[in-house]
Amino acid sequence: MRKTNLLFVVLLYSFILRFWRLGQIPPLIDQSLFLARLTNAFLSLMSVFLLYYYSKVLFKNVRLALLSAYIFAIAPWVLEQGRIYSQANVALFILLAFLTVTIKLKSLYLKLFLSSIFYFLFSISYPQFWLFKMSQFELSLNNVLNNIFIILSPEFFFFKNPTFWWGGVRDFGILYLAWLPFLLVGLNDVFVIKKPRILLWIGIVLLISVASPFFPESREFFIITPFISLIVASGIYKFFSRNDLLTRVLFFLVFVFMIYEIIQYFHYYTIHYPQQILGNRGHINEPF
Amino acid sequence: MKRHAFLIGIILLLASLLRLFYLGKTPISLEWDEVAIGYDAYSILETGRDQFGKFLPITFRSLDDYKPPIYEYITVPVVALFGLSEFSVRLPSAILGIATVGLTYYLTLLIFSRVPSVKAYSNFIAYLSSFLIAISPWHLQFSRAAFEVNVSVFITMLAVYFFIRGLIEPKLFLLSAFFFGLDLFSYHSTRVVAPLLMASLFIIFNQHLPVKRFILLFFLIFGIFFISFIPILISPEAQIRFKATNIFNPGARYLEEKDLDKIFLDNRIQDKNVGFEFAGKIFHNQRLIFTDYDTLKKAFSKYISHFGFEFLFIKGDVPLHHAPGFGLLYLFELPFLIIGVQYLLRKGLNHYTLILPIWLLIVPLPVSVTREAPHAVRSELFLPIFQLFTALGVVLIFNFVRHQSRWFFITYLIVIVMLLSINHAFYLHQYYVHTNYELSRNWMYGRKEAVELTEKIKNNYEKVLVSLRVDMPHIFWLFYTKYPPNKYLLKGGTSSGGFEEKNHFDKYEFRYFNYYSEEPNNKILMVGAPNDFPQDANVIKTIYYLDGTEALKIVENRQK
Repeated sequence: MRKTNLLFVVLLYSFILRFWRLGQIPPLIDQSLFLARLTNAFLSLMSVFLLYYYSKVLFKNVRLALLSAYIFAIAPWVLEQGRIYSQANVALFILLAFLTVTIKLKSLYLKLFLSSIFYFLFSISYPQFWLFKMSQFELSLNNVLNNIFIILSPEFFFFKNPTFWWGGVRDFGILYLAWLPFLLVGLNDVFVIKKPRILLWIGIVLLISVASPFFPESREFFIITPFISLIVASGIYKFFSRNDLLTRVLFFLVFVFMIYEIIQYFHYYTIHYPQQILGNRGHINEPF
Repeated sequence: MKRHAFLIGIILLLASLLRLFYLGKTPISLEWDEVAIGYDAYSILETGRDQFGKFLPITFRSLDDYKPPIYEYITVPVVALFGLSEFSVRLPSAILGIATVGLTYYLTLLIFSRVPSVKAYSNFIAYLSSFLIAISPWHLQFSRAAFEVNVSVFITMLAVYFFIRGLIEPKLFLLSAFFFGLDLFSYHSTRVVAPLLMASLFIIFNQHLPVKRFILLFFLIFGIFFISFIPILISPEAQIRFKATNIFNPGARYLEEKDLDKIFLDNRIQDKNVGFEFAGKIFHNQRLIFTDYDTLKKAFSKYISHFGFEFLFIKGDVPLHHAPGFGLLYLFELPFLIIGVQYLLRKGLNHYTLILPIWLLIVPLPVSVTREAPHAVRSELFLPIFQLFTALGVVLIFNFVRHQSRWFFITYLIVIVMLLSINHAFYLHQYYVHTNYELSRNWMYGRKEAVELTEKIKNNYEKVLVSLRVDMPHIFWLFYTKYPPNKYLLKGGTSSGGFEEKNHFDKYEFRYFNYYSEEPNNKILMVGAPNDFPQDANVIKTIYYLDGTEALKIVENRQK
C-alpha cells in the first residue's frame, strides 16, 4: 500500500476511535460541553497528523513516522484524553503545532517570535497548568526525587494512572504493557541515533510534572505522550527490521499480546468505564 | 599465578570475615525456619529420620511448608561436628556463601574472556565481580542465616559454569547435569528457574554442544533427578503449597485483597446492563483466570517489581530480608550497573554473554505468580548477575578515565573509593548495630531465653504450656532443649507443623490456653505472648525485645 494511503488509514482509524459515540462514551454529564468535546476530539485527530509530520522530518523515515502516528493514535491515555474536554489535550496540540512549524526553521529570531506566540497560546488554552495557577510554590527536593521514581515506575507507565482523579481511566497505565520491550529497545535506539531533543522534551515535561504541588494528579505529564510514542515506534521499527527467526517469533508473540490488551482496553473503556462515571457523578467537579 | 592466589585469597578472606564474624549472634536469634532446619538435621543425625519420623525424606515437612532437603542434609555433618547451635545451623550457608564468592570469579572469567572487546580486562572484571559479591548486602543477608536459597545460588552457578566449561571438556558437561538435577532439591523457586536456565543454555549453544553421547548422558543424569522429583511435584503437599501461594486462586488470597469472585460477578452484571452478557462471560470468568487481564497485569507488575529501584537500592522487601534502612544493592553500583548492561546489550552480546540477561529475565518468573512480590529471598537467584554487570561498568569507566588527564584519573579513583567506603560502612553499621536492635522481633528473639528459664524451673510444675501465639513454639523448644530425637520419635514425634494444637513432649504442651480456666488444681507454668495474660497474672519473668517492647511472658497459673 502506498504511504499516503497508509497515512489515510491511520487517520481514519484515529477518527473512528475519537468520534464514535463521542457523546455517550464517556457519558456527557453537562450537555453544553459536547461542542468542546467535539473540538477536542478534532484537535486530538490533528495531533496524530502533526506527530506524523514532525517525526517524518525528525527521523527522515516515512514508515517510522506512520508507526509513531499509529502508536500515538491508539495509546490508552491519548485516546481517553481525546474523547473528553481536556485542556492538556489542547495544549499538546499547540505544542505539536509549534514543534512542527519550527523543526525546519533556521532563523533564531523567528524561532523566538514563534516561541512567544506558543507561550501565549499555551497559557490561554491550558489555564489549569499548575505553573500558571500557582502564584507561589515550595519546591522540596525530597518530594521531587520521590515523585520522579513514582512517575518513572512501571506501575505508573503500565498499570495505574492516577493523574486524573475522577473521570480518568485509572485502571490502565499510560501505555500498553506489550509496548514495554519496544520502549526499552526504542530508548536504546534514541541514544544511538542521537536525537537529544526527544529526551530533552521528556526531561522538561517530567520535571514540570514531578514538581507539581498536586502530584500525582499531574495531568501535565500527558504532554509526554507523543515523545513516548516516538520511542515506542522506534523500538517496533528496530524490532521489525531484524530478520532473524527468533526476533520475528518474539515480535509475533508481543503483537498477539498487544491485540489482547487493546481488546481488553476497549472492553473496559466502552462498557465498564461509562458505568463507573455514571456511578461517581457526585465526585466529578470539573468540566468533563 | 602468585598474584592471582594473593588477590583471590584477599577477596575470600574478606568474604569469610564478613560471613563468619558474629555468625549466630547477628542476627540476634534464629527464626523459625532456621530452628526447624537445625532440629531436622539433628534428628537425621541421631535417628536417620526427621521430626515427623520419616526416614531420610526427600522433602522435609518441617513447619508444614515442605522444605527441599539439601540444606537439612548439609547441616547434618556440621551439627555432628559442632553440636546443635545457632552457629552450626548457619554455617553451611556461610561456607557456601564464601564458595559462591570464589565461584563468581571463575564464572565471570569464563564468560568475559569470550567477549573480544573486554577480553583483555576479563581478569579484572572477574576479581571485581567476586569482590562485589563478597560485600553484597543481598548475598551477606542470606549467607549469615540458614536460607536454602543461598545454597541454591551456589548450585545454580556451578551448573551453569560446568555447562559452559563442558562445551570444551565434555566430562564437565555431565557435572552440569548433576548440578542442574541437584538444584531441583535445593529451593522451591529454583525448581522453575533451573530447568528454564538449562533449556536456555541448550538453545543458546545448540550449535556448540558436545557429541550426542554426552548429550544423552546429560539427560540421563538429569532425568534420574527429575524422575525422583516427580513424586514431589505431583504430591498433594506441593499442590497445597502452590494453591496457598499463587495469585490465581481466589480462596488463598489475603483477606485485605478483594474477593475475585465478587469482582467478576460485578463486572458481569455491568456487561449485562448494557447488553453484553456474552462478553462478560469471556472477559470476567473465574474458569478463564489464566487469561484474566487484571490477574495477568498483577503478575506482570510483580515480575517488573523485581527490577524496581526502591526494591533493589532503597528498601528491599520485608524487614527480615535486608539490613534496616538499606536495600539489596549498593547505591554506588547503580550507574555502573546501567553502563554495564548498556554496553553488554549493545556491544558485548554473544553466545556466552547472552545467558546473563536471560538469567535476569528468568529469575522473577516463578515469583511473579506468588502473592508476595517482590521477594528478596526467592529472587536471590539473580546473584551474581548484577555484580557481573556492575563490574563490567566499573572497568569500562576505569578504562575511559585512565586515558584522561592524570588528575582526572586520580580524582575518579578517590571518589569511587570514598563512595564505596561510605556506602559499605553505612551498610555494616546498619547491619551489625541496627539489625539486632530494630529487628529482634522479626528474628524471633526471646524464645531461647524462655526455653532456658522453663528448663531450669520446669520440675517445679505439673506441666508447661506454651501458647501458639509464640509462633511455632514446639520447634523452638525442641531445638533449644536439644531434646533427644530418639525419645521424641518414640512418643510419635511432631504431629503438626505448628498450626494445630497437637504437639507435646516432656512437660511441654503447645496449644492456646485461657489463663483463668486452666486446671486450677495443678501447678502450671505458662509461656505466651503478652496478650495471652491478664494484667493481674503471676508473672515470673517478662522477656523484652531489644527495642524495649515486650516479647514473651512466663507466668504461673492461679491456683485454688
